Amino acid sequence: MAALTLENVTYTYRNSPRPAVADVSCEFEAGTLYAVIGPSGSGKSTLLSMLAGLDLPTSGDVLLGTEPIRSLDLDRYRRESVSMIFQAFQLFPLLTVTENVCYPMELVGKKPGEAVPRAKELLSEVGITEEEMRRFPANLSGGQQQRVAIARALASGAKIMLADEPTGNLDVENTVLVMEILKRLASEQGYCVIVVTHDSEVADAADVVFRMTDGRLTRVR
Amino acid sequence: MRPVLSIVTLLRSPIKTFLSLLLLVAVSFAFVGRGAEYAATSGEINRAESSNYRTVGYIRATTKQLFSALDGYFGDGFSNQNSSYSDGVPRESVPITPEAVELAAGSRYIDTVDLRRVSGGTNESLRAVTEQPVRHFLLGDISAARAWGTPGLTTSFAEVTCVEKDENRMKLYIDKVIVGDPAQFAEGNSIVVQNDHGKYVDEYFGGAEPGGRYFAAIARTDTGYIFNTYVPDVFAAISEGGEYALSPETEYSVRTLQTNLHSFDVVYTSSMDTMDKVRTGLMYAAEGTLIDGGSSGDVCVISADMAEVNGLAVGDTVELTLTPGTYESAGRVYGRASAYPTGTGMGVPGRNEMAEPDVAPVTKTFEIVGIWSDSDYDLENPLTYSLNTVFVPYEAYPWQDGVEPEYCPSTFGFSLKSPEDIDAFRAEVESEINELGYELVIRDGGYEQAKSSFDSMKQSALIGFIAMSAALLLALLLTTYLFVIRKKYDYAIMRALGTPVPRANASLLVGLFALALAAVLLGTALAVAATSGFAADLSAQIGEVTGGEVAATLPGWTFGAFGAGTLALLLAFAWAGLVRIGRIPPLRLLQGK
Ligand SMILES: Nc1ncnc2c1ncn2[C@@H]1O[C@H](COP(=O)(O)OP(=O)(O)OP(=O)(O)O)[C@@H](O)[C@H]1O
Ligand SMILES: [Mg+2]
Repeated sequence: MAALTLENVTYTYRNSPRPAVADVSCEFEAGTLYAVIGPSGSGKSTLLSMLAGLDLPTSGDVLLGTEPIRSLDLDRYRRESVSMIFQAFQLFPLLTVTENVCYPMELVGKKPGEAVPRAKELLSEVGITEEEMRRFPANLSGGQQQRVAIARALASGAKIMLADEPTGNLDVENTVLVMEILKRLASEQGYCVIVVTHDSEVADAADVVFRMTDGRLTRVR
Repeated sequence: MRPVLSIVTLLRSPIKTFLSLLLLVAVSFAFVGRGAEYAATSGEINRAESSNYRTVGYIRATTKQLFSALDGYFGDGFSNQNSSYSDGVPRESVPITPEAVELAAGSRYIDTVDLRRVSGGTNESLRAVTEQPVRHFLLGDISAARAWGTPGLTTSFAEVTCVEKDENRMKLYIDKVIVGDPAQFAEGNSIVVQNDHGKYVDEYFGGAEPGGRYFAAIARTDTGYIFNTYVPDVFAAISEGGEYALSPETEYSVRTLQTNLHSFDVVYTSSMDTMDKVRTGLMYAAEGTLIDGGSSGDVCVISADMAEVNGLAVGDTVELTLTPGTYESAGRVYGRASAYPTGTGMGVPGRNEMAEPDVAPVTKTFEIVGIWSDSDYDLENPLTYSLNTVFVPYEAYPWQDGVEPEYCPSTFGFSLKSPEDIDAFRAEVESEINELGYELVIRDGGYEQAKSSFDSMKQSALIGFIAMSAALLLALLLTTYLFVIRKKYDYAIMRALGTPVPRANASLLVGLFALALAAVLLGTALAVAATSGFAADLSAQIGEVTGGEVAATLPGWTFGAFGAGTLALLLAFAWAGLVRIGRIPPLRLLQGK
């Protein structure tokens, strides 16, 4: 059984004449690393947003297992079933790096005594130093912020990981580090990982590759 | 976000937080201050209105009633051109029909209806309080009130022995005070008298011989003792047998005065509540109760002075020999509700008459249920009752069998619930009363004038308050708008990460609440400080209108209420704003930053 299934999903932004995601049907399995490539504006981020439950499709359905998420508590779905690394990071500007990473854990009821050490562990895994952990996001480089966003996505413990250009701001060394982590999540921990990327090397690391063109999704490999 | 964290984040953007705080402090200061001022102004004015202005009124004939004796006096074709002949019964004494009384009494604006009678009551063992006799007829010193014409002079009658005498002065030894106040002759028993011009003693009393015994009418003035030359037989020789020869007129005066010293005004009333001074609180029950709608049986209320002079207290009884028939002596007193004085108050038939001679007096025992006091005692004021007035229930009046009560303006009065009802009351009953040949006389104690001053005071307070409310609304809208805008990004992230709407709302509101609470507390404290002089100003302003002492206050709770209101409004606005963005899907929120 697929972890996530798209059934004829179409999404049209308000005030937009054309759908950003057009009639996409596709299945995503657990334990697999997926890559979605495609030109800018082709609808990759919109597709991930549908999978992340940030809005419901204009038509069609996203299924978690066999349940359409339309019939689930969407807040809970976002909180517990999926985690997302946003293209624009979306970190709380007035929370420190550690506090940002703790947030999803607090949301699922973890006590600070448990959340803070875990956050620090995750942050050091993605190469953030103790000193950087105390800073506010604005005082970090783009690449550092991106890694904080990755750590926060890992923190929630959800088994479906959606990553929008997670390596877009990273140097080669860190790109390798992050891809290692994502690969391991899929192969060793049974995560369903879907990565949107421009980077062909990142796509090469994926088990399955899709291409997005004008809102349509086709399997490349 | 944990509550602490959302407060902490405020401190992490100190400049924005400080500016919001400043704005909120400023508006809550202005709003709370104006609000408390307005609440105090309208509250104090309402209190001043209800304590100073009560409406009392009565009905009287539209025109004078000509003496019936003049009917047919003039032949056909003649009209009465002579004003002295056109004199008639003043409107205050023209009877009013029960129909007119019921019409006025039946209105829904009526608070109290008072039926009343005034007559005399005597008791040989009780002493009337000495007071200016100018309007106290029953005690009214006959010589002073009737002949001398100088208010305040009390004539005493005494048996005296002439000690010395020359042309202008005479030294007398007081053997016995027949009628009068012995305290007036405190300087031993010898007094030196002269008449008021000092040189006619010989002329009037040339027959007096040192060593002779006489009956003398003597009054005391500021400067000394004088003969009351207007009393006939002011100085009559007493014969060997102890007899003195008085003219019937003097004898009658002496007898009357004797009686007056033990006489009291008895006011039979269904409720003292229509009495102007009672309504305004100037006259009140110092002990026990006044006569009101609930009083019944043979009970009475006496003045504190009368109680003191006679050693009486609540629970004691007073026996009075009542003389039926209405005296007009107190006409001016209850005139506020009935016959308002025109000129001297004289000219009312029967004013100086005693009880009808053929009506037998009735003796009744009344239990004292209250002691009345008048903090504004002033006999020059037509609304002041004599200290010798005994109030009893209307039913205690010694009605003659088969005699129906006859109403006149002085026996029927009413009060309205509020002076604000005057117009509505007039609209309801006035035209019908006019058709019956009567008019409605209503005294509002200056309410109409005060009202316009009060209204303008209230209005300017209200304008200040409304202006500040408008400023407050704008400022709160601005603050919440800016706050929500500022926090929209945080909100979008929270929602994207799966934070339920209520929890996301709460974590923002906690911060806002903390900010607003600090601001409102500060603003309210500043408002309390800034309005410290307001109560005194307000008291002075209201006092100027009412002419009385006012101790206005700005109650603490008004500050609390307006402060809490500011806080509640701010939170309500913020909540409304959050509910709106709570409906937006996270995808759009994230893009909208
Ligand atoms: N709020 C919006 N209103 C209208 N159209 C939008 C909105 N957001 C995105 N679009 C359009 O939808 C299409 C898909 O956008 P999307 O962000 O999914 O592209 P993308 O493939 O992620 O691009 P990129 O590689 O540049 O991130 C684009 O044509 C974009 O212009
Ligand atoms: Mg994109």
